[in-house]
Amino acid sequence: MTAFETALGLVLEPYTLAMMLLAGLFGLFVGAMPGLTATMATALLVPVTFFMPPVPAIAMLVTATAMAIFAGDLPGALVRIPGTPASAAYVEDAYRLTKKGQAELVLGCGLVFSVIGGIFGSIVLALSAPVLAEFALGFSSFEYFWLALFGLSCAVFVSTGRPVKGAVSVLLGLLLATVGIDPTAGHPRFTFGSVELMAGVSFIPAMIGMFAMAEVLRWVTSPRVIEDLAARQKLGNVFRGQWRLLRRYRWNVVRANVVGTLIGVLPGAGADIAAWVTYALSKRFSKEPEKFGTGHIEGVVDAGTANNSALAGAWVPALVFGIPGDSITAIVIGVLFIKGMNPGPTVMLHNPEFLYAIFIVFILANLLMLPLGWLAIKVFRQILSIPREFLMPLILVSCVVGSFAINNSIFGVGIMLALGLLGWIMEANGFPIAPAILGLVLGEMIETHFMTSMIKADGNLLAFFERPVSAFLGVVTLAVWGWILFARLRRLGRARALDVSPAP
Amino acid sequence: MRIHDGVFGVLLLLLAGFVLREATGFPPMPGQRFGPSLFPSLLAAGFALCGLLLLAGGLVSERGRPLASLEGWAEKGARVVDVALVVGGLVLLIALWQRLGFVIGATLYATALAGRFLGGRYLPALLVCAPACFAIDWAFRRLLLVPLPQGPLTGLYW
Repeated sequence: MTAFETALGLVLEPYTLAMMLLAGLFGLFVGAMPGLTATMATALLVPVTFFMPPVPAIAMLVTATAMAIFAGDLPGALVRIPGTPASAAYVEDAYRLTKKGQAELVLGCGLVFSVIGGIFGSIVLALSAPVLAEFALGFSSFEYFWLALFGLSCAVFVSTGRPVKGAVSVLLGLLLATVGIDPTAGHPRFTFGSVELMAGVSFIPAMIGMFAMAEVLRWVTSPRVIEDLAARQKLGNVFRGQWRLLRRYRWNVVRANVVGTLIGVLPGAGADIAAWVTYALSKRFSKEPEKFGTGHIEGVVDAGTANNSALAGAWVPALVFGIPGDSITAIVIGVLFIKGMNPGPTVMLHNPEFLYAIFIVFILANLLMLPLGWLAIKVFRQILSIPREFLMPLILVSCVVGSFAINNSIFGVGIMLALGLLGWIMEANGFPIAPAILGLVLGEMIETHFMTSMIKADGNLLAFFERPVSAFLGVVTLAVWGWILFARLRRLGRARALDVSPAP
Repeated sequence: MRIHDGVFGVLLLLLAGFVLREATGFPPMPGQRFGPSLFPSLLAAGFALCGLLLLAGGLVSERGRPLASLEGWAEKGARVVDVALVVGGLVLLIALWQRLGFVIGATLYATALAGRFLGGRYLPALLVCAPACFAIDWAFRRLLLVPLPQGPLTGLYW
């Protein structure tokens, strides 16, 4: 039996399919609830996946996130609150289209183009991952160090707000990763005598705290008024008119797929950034740019396609190099390690059936989106009517259980609380959260490869540039930092020029 | 909660100092020029640099702003109480985790929060939260074998 056939058998097991269905419904629910994100859906699912074999566990995570990203379009279109940040780019257009009585068209568009984007990204993942993995087999500690650093640099570069705040976020993540036994000498660091801290800051409670708990706190402090346009919408056949849209915007769809997947592949940038960039590109190259933001479907087509294609794209660096493409794959990498399926180039050698299973799951999850998404559109009014006043406390309780379950220790809940507060304060002050999580995930990898390389090179930093791929990655990484610095200096220069120019 | 960038700058400088002080106490690796202190020391340098940039930037661009403000949401005192309840309740839940057990502790916590968010309607909150917490307990303890504590209810249910 070939690896592909084994993978197909694993995915098509009734247990795996049932888990995918359940995760799909869960993802739709979380995505459709304004304020709850796809990352939160993933983080909340992790404790459930501890107790499963690897394929159903990963199938659940893939399905839930794909559904959540699509479902984020529903509250965006009907109540003007993007369900997930990935839907924020086109929320204004989607909502205005709904106001014009075109809810059916815009929701159908969200569904159909999410499926198209998801399948395109999955195909790219399936084609590129094995090739890249083979290439990466020749990598040494130097290449891995640069690659991981490049990932973190991109996370700073693409994060919203000021780069210095992105850098602080990355550094905090890296610092948290140093807590516990040092990977090279085995010396305990920053443990303050605590036995629990010797094992390090557990990744899952940190993640649940920074994403899920911080979101609940944000909800607690935000206005709770929702304009209910959903009740006034008639939703018939949401697939009507989609073929016409596809024909009209076929080149937009191609561009959105390519850009979305590439942004997904870029370490640190995920579906949210893909949606914003493609929306901007769509406007830039549109024949009717003046219509954007007034209820124009073109941007919804582009960005709705891109956010789902980015989702699969983000898995490329995660699987091939063990470097997360976005915050969701950062969680997934944690799960893969827990399952003993260490992501990296050797995954294709040691577990090819597992890699094929992921590709099949991606295609299947996106196909599953059509019936489940249709169902979600039909019952969205009921989902929205669930009072958040009940939901948020129960989410907090789920966070507590999830953080406890990782080590069966209440210490995990303490970590969740501390990092939840930190994440909430950080985000309220413009510090992005995702780089901190990437730093936490990549911290040990970076330090191990850095220390190994330093010992190999006996402290000679030039050795980091001696191997061709290593030199290339090093130069690219330094160029990212150079660009960040250059952009900052240019902005400062402009601001100064405006200050000194005489008043008219 | 909006905090002045300058405050963050100072906090980062203090953090850098602390990390550096701790790192210098780590023993070197036998026979090597580098040890467990190298990476944290580099991070400390990064924190110091970012701290200086935030401090300088904050002093220039946020001149005249208060060091910390509760912006908008906290003008309604009720929201401050809500946040305190979320955080304080969780601290209590952690402290009484073994004594109360999961079902009682989580039900009390969720009911208190939901009742408060519903404007003081604690009975409907209890009617929803109690069965939900039982369901979570059942799913995690029975299906997933997570040893959630039962407290005074030990042996009374699944």
